[in-house]
Amino acid sequence: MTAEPGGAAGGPGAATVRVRIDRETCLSSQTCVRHLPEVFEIDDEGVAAVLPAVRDADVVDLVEAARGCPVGAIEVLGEDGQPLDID
Amino acid sequence: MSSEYSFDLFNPDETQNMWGLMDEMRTKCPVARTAQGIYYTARFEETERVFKDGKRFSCEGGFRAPGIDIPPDERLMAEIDPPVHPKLRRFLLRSFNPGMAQRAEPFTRDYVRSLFAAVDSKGSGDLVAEVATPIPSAVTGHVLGVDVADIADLSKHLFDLLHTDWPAYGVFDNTKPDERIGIEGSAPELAAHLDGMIADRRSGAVETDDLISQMIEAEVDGERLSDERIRSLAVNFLTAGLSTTNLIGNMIYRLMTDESLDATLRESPELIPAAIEESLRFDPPVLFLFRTAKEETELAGVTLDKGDRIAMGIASANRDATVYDDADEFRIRPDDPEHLAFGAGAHLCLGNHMARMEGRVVVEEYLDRYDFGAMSLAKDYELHLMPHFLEYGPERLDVVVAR
Repeated sequence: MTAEPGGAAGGPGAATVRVRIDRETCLSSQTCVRHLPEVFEIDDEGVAAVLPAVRDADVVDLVEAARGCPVGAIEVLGEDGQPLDID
Repeated sequence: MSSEYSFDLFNPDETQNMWGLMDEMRTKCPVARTAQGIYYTARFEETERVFKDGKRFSCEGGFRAPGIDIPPDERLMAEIDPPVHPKLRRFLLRSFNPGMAQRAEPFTRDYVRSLFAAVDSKGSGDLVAEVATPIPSAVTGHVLGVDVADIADLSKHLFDLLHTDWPAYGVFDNTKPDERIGIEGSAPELAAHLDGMIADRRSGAVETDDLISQMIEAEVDGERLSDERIRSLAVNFLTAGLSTTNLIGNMIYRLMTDESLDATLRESPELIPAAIEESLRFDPPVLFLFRTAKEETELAGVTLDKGDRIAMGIASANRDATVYDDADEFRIRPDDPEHLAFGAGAHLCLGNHMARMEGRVVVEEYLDRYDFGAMSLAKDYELHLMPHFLEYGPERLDVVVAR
């Protein structure tokens, strides 16, 4: 598991992934927080941030959270650094 | 789609009393046309979708009655689209966030206590006018830089606004609906007070780092904000606090009339936040909000034309039985999906952290100060709701305090 600006992740049965939040794009819809409150929070600048518990999160949940963001501010990156998407 | 599901969206007697109609609509006509030709989404799915899809649905026109146009700088945040909206919102998020709500909590708690103490000293009062209205005004005012001594007057002007047709028409005198005179006409004392604060800060007569000063100093996309914009945003935040007034009124009414809820929260105060969430779901302070279709689009099998207006049925969506078990029951349900009382998507209520904090503090202080029944509704009290088509909260809460 690696750390990346925005947080680190892994999950049972998953390859190493990283979760990145584009803080310039985030508009604090709190969709990610509603979906995974253990993984995402709103910080003192008013935008989303990734919590340490991300390393216990399931990759499928993380990808769903990324998909659910109404402004596309969340990326889940695979080991190759490319955005992950799961069918 | 059928006219039997039609209702008058601008009439509070209808919008505040249509729970049975909402139930029918969710199962039989989930996207129905109101008397004004506005499409109302009754289910959670379509309501949430419209909130979140900024590409297909525009905010312009917002709360205004059809045909009413207002200057761009007078628009409320919920009426502004990209590219301006995200820039303003990003600037404002630096002030409207969980940290700010936490920092405002001590002030809020002291203020709440002083308001309850004032009611106690008289032995009676109207909790809506004397507690539920000033609290959000004071807390938002505190952030904006309004002097706490001015809050009582400002609260009254804000409260009076809800007894006009603002923001639908922007009129002050309901008998002259053709005089669309904006915030200056609707609330002249409020406008004057804010203009004075802005002028004092611009001139340097007052030097602070409050939010009004920050708005004066800000460069959003390389440009300063105009005085009209700053005043409109201040009015936006202060009037949005009136929705929190509904939350507080709804919650206190429930505590005074539901002894088992009162007992549960006394025994388990860690459930207070969840009780606030259930109040927001069950008695949403704002019944619906507006969008306009930017292109031809489809919702629940209904085709909308470009330019069609939509009312996102928050109150109905919050009772959707496909989302909430026992949807028509008020019960604390921390594991159920979150409600739509604050909306969803890029315009999610900026004040949600503040509102949640204020609701929690009021309940904590109420429970701490009064045993069940120590403060009670007056003998001949009858619940009437705030007479505004968008609002859902008591107009008065006349109480007596046992000595």
